[in-house]
Amino acid sequence: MDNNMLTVNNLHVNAGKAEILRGVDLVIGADETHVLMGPNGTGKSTLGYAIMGSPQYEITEGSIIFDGADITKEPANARAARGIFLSFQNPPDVPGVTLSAFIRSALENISGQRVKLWDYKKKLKETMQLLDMDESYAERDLNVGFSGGEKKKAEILQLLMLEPKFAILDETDSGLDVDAVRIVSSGISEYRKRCRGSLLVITHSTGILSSLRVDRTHVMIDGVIAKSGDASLVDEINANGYSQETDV
Amino acid sequence: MIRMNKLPASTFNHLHMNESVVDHDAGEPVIYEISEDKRLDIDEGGDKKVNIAVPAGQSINVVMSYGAGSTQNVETYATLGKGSTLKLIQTRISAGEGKLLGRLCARLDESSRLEVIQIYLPGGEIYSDLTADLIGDESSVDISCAYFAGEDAHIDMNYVVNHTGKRGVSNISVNGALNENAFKLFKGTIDFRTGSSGSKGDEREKVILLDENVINQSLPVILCTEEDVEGAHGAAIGSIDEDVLFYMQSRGISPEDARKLVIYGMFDSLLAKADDTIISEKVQQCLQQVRL
Amino acid sequence: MEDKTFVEDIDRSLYDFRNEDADAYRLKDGLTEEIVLQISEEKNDPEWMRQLRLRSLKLYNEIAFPEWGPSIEGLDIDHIATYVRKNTKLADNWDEVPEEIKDTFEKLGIPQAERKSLAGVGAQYDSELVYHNVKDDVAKQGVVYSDIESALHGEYADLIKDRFMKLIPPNDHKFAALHGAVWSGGSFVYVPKGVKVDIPLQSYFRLNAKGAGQFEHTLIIVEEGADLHFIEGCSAPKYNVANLHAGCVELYVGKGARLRYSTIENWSRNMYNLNSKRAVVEEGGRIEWVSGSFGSHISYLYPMSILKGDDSSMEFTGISFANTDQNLDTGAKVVHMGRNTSSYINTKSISKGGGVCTFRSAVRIDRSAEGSKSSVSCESLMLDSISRSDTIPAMDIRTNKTDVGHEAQIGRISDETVFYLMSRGLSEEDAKALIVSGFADNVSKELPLEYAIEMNNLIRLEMKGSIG
Repeated sequence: MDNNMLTVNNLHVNAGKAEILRGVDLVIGADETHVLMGPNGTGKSTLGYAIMGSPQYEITEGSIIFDGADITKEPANARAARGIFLSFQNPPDVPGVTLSAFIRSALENISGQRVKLWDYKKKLKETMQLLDMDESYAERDLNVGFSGGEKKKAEILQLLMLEPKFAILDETDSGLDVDAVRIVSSGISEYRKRCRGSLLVITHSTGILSSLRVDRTHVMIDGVIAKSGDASLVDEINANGYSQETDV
Repeated sequence: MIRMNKLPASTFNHLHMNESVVDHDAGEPVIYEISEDKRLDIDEGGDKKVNIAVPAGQSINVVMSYGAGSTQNVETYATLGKGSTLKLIQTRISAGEGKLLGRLCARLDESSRLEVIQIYLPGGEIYSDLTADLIGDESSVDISCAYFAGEDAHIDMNYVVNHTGKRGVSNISVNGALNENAFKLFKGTIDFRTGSSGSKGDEREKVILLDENVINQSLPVILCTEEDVEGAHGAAIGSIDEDVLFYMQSRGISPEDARKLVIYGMFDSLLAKADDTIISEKVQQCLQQVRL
Repeated sequence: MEDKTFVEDIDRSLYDFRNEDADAYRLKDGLTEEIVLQISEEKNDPEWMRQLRLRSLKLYNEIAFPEWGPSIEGLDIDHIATYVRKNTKLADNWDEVPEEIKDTFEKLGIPQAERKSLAGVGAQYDSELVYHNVKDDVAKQGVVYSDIESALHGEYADLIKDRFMKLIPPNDHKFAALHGAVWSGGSFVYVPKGVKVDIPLQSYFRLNAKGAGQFEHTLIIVEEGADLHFIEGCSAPKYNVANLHAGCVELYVGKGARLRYSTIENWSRNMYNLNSKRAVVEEGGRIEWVSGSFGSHISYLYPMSILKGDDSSMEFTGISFANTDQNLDTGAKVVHMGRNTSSYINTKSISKGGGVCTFRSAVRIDRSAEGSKSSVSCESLMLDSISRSDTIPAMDIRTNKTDVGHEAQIGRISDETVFYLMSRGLSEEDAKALIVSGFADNVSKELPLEYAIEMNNLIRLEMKGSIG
């Protein structure tokens, strides 16, 4: 038995009638950080959604193995219970449900146990401080009226509270100012330190990567992984763009 | 027969939304006179008349809890003196056979404020008719309602706010969920009458549809004969947003729990407003038993 | 933006001229079986049509007046002549149209428009069509555009029999029954399968006679995969007695077909406009309504779309402008029956000088219409405190697999915006006219340029004397 965290085999995914992913293979080991780059509209986010189990996308061929189990057909909440986390690029507003109540409910669902309120509140408060989030956000409706930066922080807050084994960060750094990138990055480092979880970082820029040790870099073009390499590939792409990959 | 819930501006007859005719023979009502804080538990059936008079400058809280054993026909008349505040909570939190015919007429004097909180759970046959006359300048009304309607529930609401005074403010907010074969009709009218310049009115409705057998009817109306006013209404009707469901699921929350969270959330904000531990506990208890 | 608004001034007299109707054939006022039979005879009706007229007359006498809309007390059907026609034959050559009628339509710009940008034109004067023509290349594709009377005896007679007053049956409401009894004139359009008519067809209705009614019937069939834009315009001179318009428009939109139906209505202020319009849309088809209501004394107008086929859709874009002595009760109705159907209603209304605008709608989503979406948005502008603006949108939702949204707003022109424009050199009147034209751009940007200009002219006209 291997110690792979995630194995994606020949994954084909449709959105409606259009095929977005056309045979993706990807292996991420335990305690590894992978980066996924590529031009807009090539299917990077789709891969994240498909691994998380979004009903918007249909897997037409291939499989997803997580922690030794085939999860290709599992609903999203079962995948979350196994320890997969997706940081959304645009998390939806959930009026009426506070951030605090939401995370608590998620924790109870994942663990199958009641959460001790006192301990929970304490941990939530500490984690919010770490992310430089105002305490009042805990009692605000989830994502309602949050700025772009606040939404991203709320996503990282959930990452730290839920402590998954594997997290996909979808453009978590896009549209953030320098300070927010720094805080979000330190949150991600904290997650690596606490949980030693694996990461798949979907990004355009290197800002968020500076504080991370990158094991592998992948470039997605037109729904397939066109090229993989080590950390140095990130710099290469930033210097030369994707042109040479598209010629492959 | 009682005719109630009349729409101030009638519309297409084929919709059958203009008024409701309820089968009830009203008798001589029992009368309550209230002018200070009061908790009124109305468990037995029958006809009641509740007169609430809030003296000028005073602020009172009235809680009316309806039982559901037999038909209740309750008319409430509230008069708010200059600069007074009335917080009126009306709830029916229990399943039962009895009909509820609740009518509220409020008259607001200058700078007075009326806050109405209505909670209906888990349904039954409910008719709620509410008229607030903002007569004095700078008076304001805030009406909020949360409901959950389960099996065989029939909820029929008609809220009317008449802006007569200047610079009045009205807010109507109705949130609810329909399950099984529940029926709900909500009509909300904000009427800006001549002379109500500087007034503002806003009306919001949100309905979550949980079952394919539900029927939801909504009719948000604005009537206006005054130029210098701002009025708006909005309604959103549908099942729980798929994106929200997936988002919750991706955090490990099962679809059942996601529904619960959203529905509890609807009541939570209202309970915070009501700030009444007895009602909070009753709502929590009742929600636990609700089939989702 | 400025170009659109600051076109040369027009004045109301453009629509307000009238011709003496001394040589017209005119039935006596009022509505009796005798009159209905006379119309039937005059028009050489087939037997089924004669029966439909008689049945409709019976229904008309049974059905009550609507009790929910604006008052129609000023309308006395006994004094509305139901059938007035000029002593002339239908022409397909403009030169053959009598001088006086030709002059009327020339003033309204009808033949010019045809030459410029239309695939075909029909012109109705009082009860009858006086001119009808379709461009050769369009006719060659099999597109039929004719008056209903000749179509009733032509190639599509059976098709018409199957569809005539089937969408709007005479028992639908009192004025549908009246229409069924005395209808006259109007158009029949047939677009065969797969034919896309890329420039619009137009029909213009002119009611000239004093105290008369116009009851034209428009029947349009757009077959599978076909595409059509149909434009109707209406006007009448002003008299001091009531005129009545109770037309019927029945639209059949086939599988995957698209029909856009645009109306600029500018009836005079003595007109009772009690018009019925309805479309049924098959699978994947689409109906688009573009509607500008500026004229009439009283209007009841709620074009209805029946989304019967799966994946069918409708869009309604409308504007109403009610000025002194006008009560315009307008809106839209939609019934979702097919799965994954969608409706989008976007309206604006402007009330001024004591005018009344009511937006009234009904959206129904049936149990069978899983996956359907509906969005209604209406905005109202109050220009003074003697006018009135009401919004009465009803929703009736019977499936949970749906997404229904509704937004409405009412307000006035912001003083700050007026000040801003005035600070750039505009007069107050021009500033307000500009703002109102901008407010109306949901409709004007959906219209062909000539019509958008005409509409902006109308707005400018209505805005005259809006200050002080």
